[in-house]
Amino acid sequence: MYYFLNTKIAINKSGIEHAQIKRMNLFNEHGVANKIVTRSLVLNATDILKASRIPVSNYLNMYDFFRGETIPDKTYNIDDFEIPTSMVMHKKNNEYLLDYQGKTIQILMTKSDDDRRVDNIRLLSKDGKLVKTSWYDTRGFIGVEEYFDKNNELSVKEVLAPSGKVTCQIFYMSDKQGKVKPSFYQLPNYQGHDLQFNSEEDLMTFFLDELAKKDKNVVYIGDRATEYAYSLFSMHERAFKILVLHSSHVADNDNPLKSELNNNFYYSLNHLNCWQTILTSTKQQLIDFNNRYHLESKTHTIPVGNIEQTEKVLFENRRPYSIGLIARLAPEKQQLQAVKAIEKVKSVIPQVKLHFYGYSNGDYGQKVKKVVNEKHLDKTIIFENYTDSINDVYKTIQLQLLTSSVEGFAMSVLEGLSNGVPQISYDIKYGPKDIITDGEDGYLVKPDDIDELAEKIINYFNDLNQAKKMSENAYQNSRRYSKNSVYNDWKPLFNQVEKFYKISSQEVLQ
Amino acid sequence: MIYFVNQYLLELNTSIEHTEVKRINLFKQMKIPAKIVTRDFNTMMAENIKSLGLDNDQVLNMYDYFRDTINIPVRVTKNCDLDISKEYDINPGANISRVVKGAQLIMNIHHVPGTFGHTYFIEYFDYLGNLVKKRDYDSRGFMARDQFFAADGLLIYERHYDKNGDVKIENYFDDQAIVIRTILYDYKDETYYFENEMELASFFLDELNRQNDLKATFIGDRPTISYDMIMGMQTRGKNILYMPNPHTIDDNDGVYADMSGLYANAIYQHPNQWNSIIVATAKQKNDLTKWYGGKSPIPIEVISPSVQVESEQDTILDKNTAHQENKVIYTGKLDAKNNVVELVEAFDKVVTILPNATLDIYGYGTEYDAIKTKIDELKLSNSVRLLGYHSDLTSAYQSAELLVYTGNVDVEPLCLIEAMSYSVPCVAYNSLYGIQDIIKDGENGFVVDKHRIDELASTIIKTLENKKRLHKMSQNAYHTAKTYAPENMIQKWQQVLN
Repeated sequence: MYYFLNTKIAINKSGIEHAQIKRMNLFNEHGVANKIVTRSLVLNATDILKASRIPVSNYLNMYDFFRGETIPDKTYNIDDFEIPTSMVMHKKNNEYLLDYQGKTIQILMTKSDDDRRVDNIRLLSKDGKLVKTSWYDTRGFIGVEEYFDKNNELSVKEVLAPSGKVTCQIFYMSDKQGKVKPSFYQLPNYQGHDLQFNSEEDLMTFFLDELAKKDKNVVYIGDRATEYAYSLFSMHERAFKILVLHSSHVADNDNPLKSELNNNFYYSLNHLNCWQTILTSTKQQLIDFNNRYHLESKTHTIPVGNIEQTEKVLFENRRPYSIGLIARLAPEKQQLQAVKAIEKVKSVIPQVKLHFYGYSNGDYGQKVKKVVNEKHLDKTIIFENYTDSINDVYKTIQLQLLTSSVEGFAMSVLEGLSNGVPQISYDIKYGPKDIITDGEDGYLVKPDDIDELAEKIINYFNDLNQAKKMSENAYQNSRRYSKNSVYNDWKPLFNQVEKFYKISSQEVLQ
Repeated sequence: MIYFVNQYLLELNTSIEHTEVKRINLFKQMKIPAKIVTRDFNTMMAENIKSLGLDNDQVLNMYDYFRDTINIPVRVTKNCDLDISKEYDINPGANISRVVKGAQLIMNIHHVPGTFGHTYFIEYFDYLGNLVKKRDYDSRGFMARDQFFAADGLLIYERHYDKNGDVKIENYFDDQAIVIRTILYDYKDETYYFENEMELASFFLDELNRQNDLKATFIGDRPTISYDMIMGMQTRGKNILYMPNPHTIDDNDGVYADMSGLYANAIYQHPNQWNSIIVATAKQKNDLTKWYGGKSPIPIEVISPSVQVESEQDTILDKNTAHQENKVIYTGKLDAKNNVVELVEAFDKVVTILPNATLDIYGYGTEYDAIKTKIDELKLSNSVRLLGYHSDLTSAYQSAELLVYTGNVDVEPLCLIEAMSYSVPCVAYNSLYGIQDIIKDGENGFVVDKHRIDELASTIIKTLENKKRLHKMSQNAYHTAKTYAPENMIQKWQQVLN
């Protein structure tokens, strides 16, 4: 079983989640058993899975695992709530007050006025103080109960199985600095014993061990190295562990041999012997990596992206002069540089439009918006937010930009190409040079050269015949990232896994 | 059914519990169905019942009732029964076994004192050393309760388990450790919500009353708590308020002084809630009636809490061998109002005249340390012993020649008739109620004005010196006790209960 490790799947997904979903679909098509594993305690798994098109059978959450019961797929609406005969219920917005002998003692809340699913029930003391909140899982049972201290601060969180059994207890306590944090995780009566853990990471280690014991030949793909390396390295069970470099492994791409490491990989790369395999998405990164570490025998290049067959959209059916930039609004994506370039383009091509698709990391989005407004470009540059239907976007734009300072693969570049969208991208590490064929299906621009970026955009729109041809080339050239082709890239790794476990079973026989 | 309503039965008890124990045994002897009911959670309840010489069916605890653990088979839970994970090491100890993972303390398993490793309760710690959770085990071997603590160390929540390990009762606490919400789950197929533990206790009594077709009798024995439990009931049985203390705040005045806070709410604010009040002596009834201005709104009955103890006293009377020469005993609480420090001072004078006189002090209380200091200060440790609380005082009474009681705010100290049941005469400080009903000066003992230490000393000396008179007083004491024989006491109860 291949487990793709993550913290959680949210509605707003980053490249890593998209990569996992693409890999899941690829493996599903070829009958390779796989699951996306998440660690965080969430209550809306069904909503997220549906929105992300992840089948329930491809999903495993740590707390669900410890619940140890089949989890039903049903909803629990306010109409399903049986009002105890001793109580009277009355509605106030999306709150339903339950009165017992004339006093409100419980408050039910639905998700919203329209969404009648029960979200939570709060229990009050005689003076109306909150003492407990019972949270409903979207799968129709109370999944979490929270207990509060005198200041209404969370003190204890209990995870419940559908049967009502408590399967995990989390206590929030003060450290010596007075900071309150979860410092006690207990699995009560887990296979007959109470087990105690100091952190979610330690609980995760135990979970990974339990999974490894349960099904032999597990492969853990560490897509989020920062969050998972510690748990993976602390395991007792033998397991095949893969590090995926979703970004550049060094801080300074101009000096891959000597540069400080990318903080996200610091711990992982200082324990290279703990990984059975390291994956890069591009050949270029593999070369840089092995020049430094000389680990040719346990490194592979497998693109994190692969492309779907898409319906061709003619260039003239796309919105004229519309450009897309698909990335989180984040400092390393450098949307501010795109804004400056478009300012220049607009002076020549007034009808140009740039659409930003993506959610904001921190306040960077606000910063970009402010600049756009200051430059009176708010009619030219449009903030579209995150969308789960990005393929529809690719069908409407005529050009795509990438202004990032660093990437691991630049999935959106490949997705754009596969939808016939020519690319103008900074020539950064890693991805654009591997994916874009300069002059054929796009242009590579010297990083941070805003003038050249603007010039290339102007030239592109000034020769629409050439642009049309480039769109054709984009469809053609991206085919080397077809599912079949990428699946073939996985095969050497599958062999390595098989060998790894053959050795282990031989050892057992001896 | 008659229920004696109390808050608890402990390892160390007060005269309120001892009064109940005497009464419940009296009722048992007379085949009148009765039970002591207690409110508080107590994992050692079964042990306390045993040490008080009671049967299980004479006591009903609220938590046992709702948890369905009244007649649960007794088993022993030890470390090996707790299924401690192999990931942890156990460092066993006499009182506490420490469960560790490397240097980290995972939990402390506390053992029931005086047993070989019976599980008492478990404390769970986080890696920062904070106590996060406590789990109590009943002495009968089952998991009874979990308590959760917040970051500030305060108890916020507890859950009580039924015999199947399912949550039966929840209590939520405020920052003063006061219950601010109580929930009773799955009782007769319903969930019940209460504002506090007291409401649950009243509901408990209501349920008992319903079991008796609303004809149960409730005797409130512990001021305020028992009375509140009864007054909070929604149904009405026959409610009797038992007065274990004087009814006013002035030790010397039962007529004009203010009513004691122990009773004001019950019988002054809510007289309609009560069918009768029981006091120990006719004098107290008289005073209380006068306090009400000549007519009490609630009928007042007089029943002494004392009952003659079965003592095989004939042997003692005839041969008089068990009594040790010049042995004096004190039995009772050791609080300030019991003046035991004064008794020790008096005894300092007694031993100068009677060097072989000894004083054995039985009991516990707030003055224990002060008494000990006084004994050391007067270098009396060869003559005076502090022996602590014993629920069975038979051998103490059998060995004594004289009992001295120095308390001054009782309604009628139980120790007098207990001692006289063993033919032991009594010297006591006088007080507003109870003493002179039992002690007749020169016949079965002597009464001394309170705080007269010299007079107390000379009275003890003169009583012990004249052995002939002492023997006569001893016989008279036994006859006094006989008037409190069970058959006499039960008649009085029958009058009140019918």
